[in-house]
Amino acid sequence: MKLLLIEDDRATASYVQQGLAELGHACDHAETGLDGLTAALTNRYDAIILDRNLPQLDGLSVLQALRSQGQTTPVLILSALGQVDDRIKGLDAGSDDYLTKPFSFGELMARIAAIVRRGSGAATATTTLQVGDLELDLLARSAKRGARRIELLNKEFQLLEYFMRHAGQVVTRTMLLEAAWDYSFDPGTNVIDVHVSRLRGKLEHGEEPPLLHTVRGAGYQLDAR
Amino acid sequence: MTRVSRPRRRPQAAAFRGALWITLIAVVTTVAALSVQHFQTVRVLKIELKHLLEGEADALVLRYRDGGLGGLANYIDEQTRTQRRDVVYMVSDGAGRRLAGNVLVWPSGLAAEHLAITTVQVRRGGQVQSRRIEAEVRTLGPGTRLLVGHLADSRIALGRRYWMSLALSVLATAVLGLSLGWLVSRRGVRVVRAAADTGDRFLSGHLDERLKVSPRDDEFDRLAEVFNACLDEIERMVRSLRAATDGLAHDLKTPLTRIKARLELAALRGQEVPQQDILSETARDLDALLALVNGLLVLARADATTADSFVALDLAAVAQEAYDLYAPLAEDAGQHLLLQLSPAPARGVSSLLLHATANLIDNAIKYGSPGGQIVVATGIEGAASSLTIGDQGPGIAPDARDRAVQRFSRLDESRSTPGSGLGLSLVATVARVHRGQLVLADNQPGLRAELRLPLSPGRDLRPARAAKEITGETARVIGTEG
Repeated sequence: MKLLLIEDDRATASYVQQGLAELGHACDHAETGLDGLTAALTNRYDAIILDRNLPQLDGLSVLQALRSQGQTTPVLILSALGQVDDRIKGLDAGSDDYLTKPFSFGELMARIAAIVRRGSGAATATTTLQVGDLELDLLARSAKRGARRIELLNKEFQLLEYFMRHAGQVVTRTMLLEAAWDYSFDPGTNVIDVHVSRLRGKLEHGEEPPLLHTVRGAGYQLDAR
Repeated sequence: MTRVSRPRRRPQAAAFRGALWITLIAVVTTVAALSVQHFQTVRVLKIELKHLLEGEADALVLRYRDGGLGGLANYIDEQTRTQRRDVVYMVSDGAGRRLAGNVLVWPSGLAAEHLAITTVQVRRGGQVQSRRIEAEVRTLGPGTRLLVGHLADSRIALGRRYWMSLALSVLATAVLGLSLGWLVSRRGVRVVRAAADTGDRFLSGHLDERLKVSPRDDEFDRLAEVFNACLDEIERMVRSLRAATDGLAHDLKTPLTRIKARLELAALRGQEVPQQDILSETARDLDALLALVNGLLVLARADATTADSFVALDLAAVAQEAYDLYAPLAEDAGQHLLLQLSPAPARGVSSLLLHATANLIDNAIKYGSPGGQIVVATGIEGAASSLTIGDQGPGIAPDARDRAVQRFSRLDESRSTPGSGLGLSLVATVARVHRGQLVLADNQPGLRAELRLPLSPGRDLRPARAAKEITGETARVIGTEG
């Protein structure tokens, strides 16, 4: 992937760049909003990581300028402003996701992977989702693994749907919390873990191969390996 | 802290000013009342007199027509001799000579046939006097005129009496007004001065200073109550700020000290890159620090909530959602989370109420007894919608309940149990911004935490008033926290 990082804090920028380089991604860096906008308009990127507080031109203005030029490159906003209002403002301005500082690199990578895939048009209107022998019928709201029917509670269904839409990707606890609960508060990672482990218990019976994997230090991954 | 109010050079000035105003108002009122009364009386008397004189004059004119000048003169003589009446007469010819009556000279300029006031020479009881009269004039024949007059003595006396009583009244009013006004004003001024003195002492550090509230229960007492309530609030904030600062310092320093110690240890060992265990422990400490900062931000945001962000909601729905979130966690902890929901309408911010409920359930799971029940109930109780969470754990001792909701307070003195110490204080803050209360009580056994929100939007369930209702029970009302 080729990414553009628009961030005025050099320490954060170099930390993100190093992490991306280790994973084999190329990353350009711009320190001001104006430089970032120029770079974004002159090169093609898979995704843009945009800080909100920038010199010369703030993040939201950069984003609006990009979108008004017809640029649809996925954008993830990074910001210390984490209130619901700020998130909504960011998403309204045309960003694809919003991540609050301080963040973990795992969280950042998982979210970039998610928006890049969404940008490539993978998440189209489907009525069934399939991962391995696991099948989810969105209309009948039923789940099957092979021939076995899986009874799911409402929240569990929402969680599984999110997992299946992001199959093969790392999904963080915060992403799950936002997707399935829409809370503005963090009830503690423990709560999410318990819900995921319940779901896992329903998905993986007896000799069935594992589907829902724990990714250490990052989150979970639904994958029929 | 300093004294705010300077010593005043004229300490009684406000009381005197008050008395003066009261007196001025009373005097003006008195003068107005007396004047209206006087002029009304004078008007009535004047009308009566006019009727009297006109009647007399008309009677004399008739007598003149019947008996001529002689008959009229006889009648007038008879009338004047009796002296019984204050009426005077004169009949004069065209040259102004007196033909009959006891007025000696026709008053110059008196011609019109209507009531007029003039001065005349009158013979009464053998003496000639100069008197003010009110006179009525009639023309009897060519040049012959009749004057009927009434001595104006009573009118003059009345006027004099008016001025006299006016002066006396004003004097009495002034004396009474000044003294009573002084007394009344002094009560007000005394209250104000007591408030200023109390405020001064409060500011100089005596946070327990309060105004006395008299049993009269008047406006001054209401003022004193409000003033005291303000002082209560300030004292609460000052004390909680002190406690919070101590707690915050402790909670920030502990993980920071650990991180520093670990890094120093790594440096001592000459490690180029710290070992994995040091890294993961440091990451955990940093997570705790971030959680603390986030907790504080959440609390600050909750604290700044105003009623314009409220919407109509049902606490039962809030409880249901919190239940869905925590039921698996409770089950894993070996506890039975039970729901007893009936409608509990309220107005508020549902995310805040959910957060508060989640904190209460989280506490119940953390501190409840293994294998015990946690009951989440909603419903209407009196004027309040209530959401109750009862566990069967050790509960909180009655005297520790106030402290339990203060920021950074942990009932475990060593502060070694996990948690930021912000959970219950967030619940109390959420209750307060919703004009409700958090009531902690004995669940026999366990803790029973009740979130009470006003049923109707105008009501305010917060303590000060509510605290009185609950005194004597084991419950502690905590709508305000530290």
